[in-house]
Amino acid sequence: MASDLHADPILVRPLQETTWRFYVVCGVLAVIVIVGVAGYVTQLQNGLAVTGLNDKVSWGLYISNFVFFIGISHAGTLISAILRVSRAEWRRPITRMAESITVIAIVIAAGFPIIDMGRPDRLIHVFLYGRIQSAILWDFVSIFTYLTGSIIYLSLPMIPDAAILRAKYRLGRLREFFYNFLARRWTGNRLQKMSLEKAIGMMAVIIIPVAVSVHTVVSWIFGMTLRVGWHTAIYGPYFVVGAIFSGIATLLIAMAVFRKVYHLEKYITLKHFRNLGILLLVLDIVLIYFSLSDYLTAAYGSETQEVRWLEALSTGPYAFLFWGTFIGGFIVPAFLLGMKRTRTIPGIVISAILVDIGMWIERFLIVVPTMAAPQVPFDWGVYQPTWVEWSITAASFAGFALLYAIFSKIFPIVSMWEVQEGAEAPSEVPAPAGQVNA
Amino acid sequence: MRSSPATIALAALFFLGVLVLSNPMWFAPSAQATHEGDVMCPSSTVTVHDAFLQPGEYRESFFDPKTKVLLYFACVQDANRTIHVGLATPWENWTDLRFQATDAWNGDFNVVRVSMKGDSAEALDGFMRGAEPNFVEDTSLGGSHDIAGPVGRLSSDYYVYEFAFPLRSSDAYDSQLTLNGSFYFQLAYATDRATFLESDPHFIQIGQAPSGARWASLELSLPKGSVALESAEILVGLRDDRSRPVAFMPISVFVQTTFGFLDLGTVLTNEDGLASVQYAPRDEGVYLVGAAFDGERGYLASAAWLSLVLPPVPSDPTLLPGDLLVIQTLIVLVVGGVWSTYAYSLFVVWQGLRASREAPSDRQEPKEETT
Amino acid sequence: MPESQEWQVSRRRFLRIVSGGVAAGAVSLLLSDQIFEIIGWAPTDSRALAGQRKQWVMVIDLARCNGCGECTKGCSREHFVPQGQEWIKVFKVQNELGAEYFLPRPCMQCENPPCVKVCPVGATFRRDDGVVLIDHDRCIGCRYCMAACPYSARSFNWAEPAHTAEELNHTYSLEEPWPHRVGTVEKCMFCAHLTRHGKLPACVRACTAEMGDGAIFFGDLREDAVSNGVETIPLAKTLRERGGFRFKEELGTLPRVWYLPPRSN
Repeated sequence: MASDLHADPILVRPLQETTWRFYVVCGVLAVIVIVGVAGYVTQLQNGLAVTGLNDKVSWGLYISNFVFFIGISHAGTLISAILRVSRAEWRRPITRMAESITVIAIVIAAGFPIIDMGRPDRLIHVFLYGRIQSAILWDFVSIFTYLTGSIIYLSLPMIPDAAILRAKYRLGRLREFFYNFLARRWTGNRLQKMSLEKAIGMMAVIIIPVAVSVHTVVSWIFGMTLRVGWHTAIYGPYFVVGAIFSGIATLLIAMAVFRKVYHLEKYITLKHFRNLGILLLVLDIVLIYFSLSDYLTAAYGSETQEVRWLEALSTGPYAFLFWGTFIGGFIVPAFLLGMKRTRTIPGIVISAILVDIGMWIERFLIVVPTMAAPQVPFDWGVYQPTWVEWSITAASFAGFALLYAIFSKIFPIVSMWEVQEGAEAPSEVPAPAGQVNA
Repeated sequence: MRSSPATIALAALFFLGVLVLSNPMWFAPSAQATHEGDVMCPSSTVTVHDAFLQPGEYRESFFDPKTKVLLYFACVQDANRTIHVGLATPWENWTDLRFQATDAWNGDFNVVRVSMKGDSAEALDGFMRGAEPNFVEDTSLGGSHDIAGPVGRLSSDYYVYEFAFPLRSSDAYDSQLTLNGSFYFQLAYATDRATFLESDPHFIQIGQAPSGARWASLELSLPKGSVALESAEILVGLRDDRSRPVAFMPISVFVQTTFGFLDLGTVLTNEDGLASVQYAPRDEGVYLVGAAFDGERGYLASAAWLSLVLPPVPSDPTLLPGDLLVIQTLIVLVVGGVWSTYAYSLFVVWQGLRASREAPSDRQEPKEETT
Repeated sequence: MPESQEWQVSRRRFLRIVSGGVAAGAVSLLLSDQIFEIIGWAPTDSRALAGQRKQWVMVIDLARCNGCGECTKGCSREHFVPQGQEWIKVFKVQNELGAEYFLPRPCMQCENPPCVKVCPVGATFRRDDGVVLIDHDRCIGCRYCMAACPYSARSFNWAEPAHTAEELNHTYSLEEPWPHRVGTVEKCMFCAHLTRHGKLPACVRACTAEMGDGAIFFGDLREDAVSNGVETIPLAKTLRERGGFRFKEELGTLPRVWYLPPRSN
């Protein structure tokens, strides 16, 4: 029965009370978003000439943001689906955080190709004249499939929580609308629970290959061209591993923020940070391995054009970014995560922040240096992003945070029924320890 | 040496001939005319306007390498110094013969413009000034149409025209030939397309034909029993008026392409008067091949044309390559499978939610009715 | 706990319907050619028909090119090419031993074009006479073709191009794509609007006008002849004797532009 489940007041409080700090933060984020929108309007009026793009470097910040956000969308899949399939119980408090990152990140990511288009008024052409031979179409199909699957995968576990909230709390019309939609018929009997578990189980299994395919297909947009630096077989695995890597880092940051702001220390413990931190470390090592493999192969073979590209990265105009990413985003986090002394919550969160910054720069380094490297003799390109591109980039991050914050105010950010299910079975989740003041 | 005036006249003629012949100008197309004496048309040719170029009809010839037009001339000793012209041209639209009897080519010239109108030829007599294509008919300038007996015929691959015109006409606009019968001429043509090509100006002297002026006839063919696309060989044969082979003469062969004539080479005929060149086009179509003999060692010039017809090569219809179709099908299956799973999950949940209307207790016995 | 059999049966039915639908879709895709034949619909791209049987090819004699750039100017005049774009671009190539030559680079009109492969909406396509065209009504400005072209032969209208009155008076067509539009991709198209009427492309004419006997030759691959407006040379023979090559041959793009080596003989 629905009344069997009880809601921990801690988890419900964010839905009931909102401090002034929340409004201030949302206000700031909203302002950044508005500035970005203004930038986009400028671009619509004057064409893409307001960006730093040119005939040589014709893809820049927009596309690297696109790849980045698709990358962090892999957080949800890994945590929820893979850990569920492998029956890792410690995942329960963080599944919803992860799944919502996925949905919001995909929505933001999907905006970027449209922002990058020269003729967004012709978006319908993709539907009318779409060519299945083009990697962009594969991208479109797989991202749409992933988004749909992620929304389903996010919504299904919300049904029992919505039922509790609906039954026991009065939380305003907006939230009532969502809860009714999800859980009007939910009574919590065994049959319903079995159906739900079965459906969630199926979705978990199917969403893993979909997620892998999404970032593989995104990598093929680059990998299927003939450009130096792009046309390499390692791009598929590299992108997928990089995506999960940046996704976990984002999740760690989100965990730290929500834990602090909503006082979720009871649910999100050092153990969660440590487990995810170790996953982060493992992926870090794999990514270092892939990078070394890619760069050393190119350097050893020393094909003329590849050497030019490598020089641009290692000693040329992109050297600062390249070494900064490699050391700050890959090596330093590996040490922080690897050494027991620094494997604390602050240490792990700092690693996660370094990783996210490093991966964003890494996406930039994937897109731009290859396009700047000459294809015809000595024809180097230069790319200097303008305020329009920066403001839209900032707006995307602010928009992401804003949507996430709003989401956490509509639905409990920790999945209550999943945690409770885990508590009923013998597990290591600690028993409720009483109220903690906000 | 009994008739001394005749002797003197003959000697004078002989002397004149030597002078003219030894003048290097004779061989220079842009040379100045020599102006001595009157037009002489000693030849007694019988030119019949039947649009067939026969041996014995003409005494002079010229093949223009730029416009690929072959000209024959013959002069009649009459008051107007009528000149007969035979013209073989591959061009469908009109062909111009522009001539001028002045010392230097000054850009004003008389024009004879021939073209086929249906089955018969039309020859316009006109005047052009300068380099502009501003052809004006003599009749509208107050002159007269002086061209006699124009005939024309489409031979299989080219047009043959024959006509005559006076070198001394009564038209004010026609340049008069009062001098030694030399004149400048230029050829021009128009085609269906917007292209228009003129030859360089050429110079010919009438009435001083080298002895002989023997007839030569050129023929193009493909080797017996060969398929044009595969053999790529084109045969050239040069014969005289008695069908005897003319050996060791240079023949230039060319083919018409989109942007100009491609020179296939200059070959020497062998003892049998035959030679061959190679040309291998890569696709079906009609290719116009021409050959020209410039007229040496007493032979008149000759030209021949041949339309090389290459039949369509049957090719496999290229639809979507098979393996791409398989990949597309796999994509449809995979994506379809994923979306089916979504639908099925939602269906399962929806079934469960719908069941809340019935008793929430568990069912132990299966229901009797099954769908 | 056993689920109701009624549920299981209806679930099975659902699965059957859905999987049947997917299978039907897949099968009809596999048999699409035959199906099209039966209903009499030919899914050919009518834009790709040229109307005349030609296979255009260009030969550039690097031994003659002196880098004057008249080809670029002629092309820009002919097509009202927007400011900052060069559809045929002349590069200067130097190697470490001091050899220096100029390389004019038009669009290669590849037989296996990477740009056509990647276009998501089919806005760029290869016509049956070999010219790769752009449909500016359809282009969405994603610039994937620009990323894919190994010769950097494409340009983009980043802003609304400056127009002359003459350009605006003209009606857009595939072969004469002006007035140019913001947010779409542009490139050389072998002057399809001129070659259709037996005229040589603008760059060929400009080069011959400047040099008397130009370095750029153009012609029909089928006729095995190319011309620069002054002389017509045999194609296969010249390439064989002069050692003609194509740019980045190893990429498998099969360009239609051949180069004669920069060596005077």
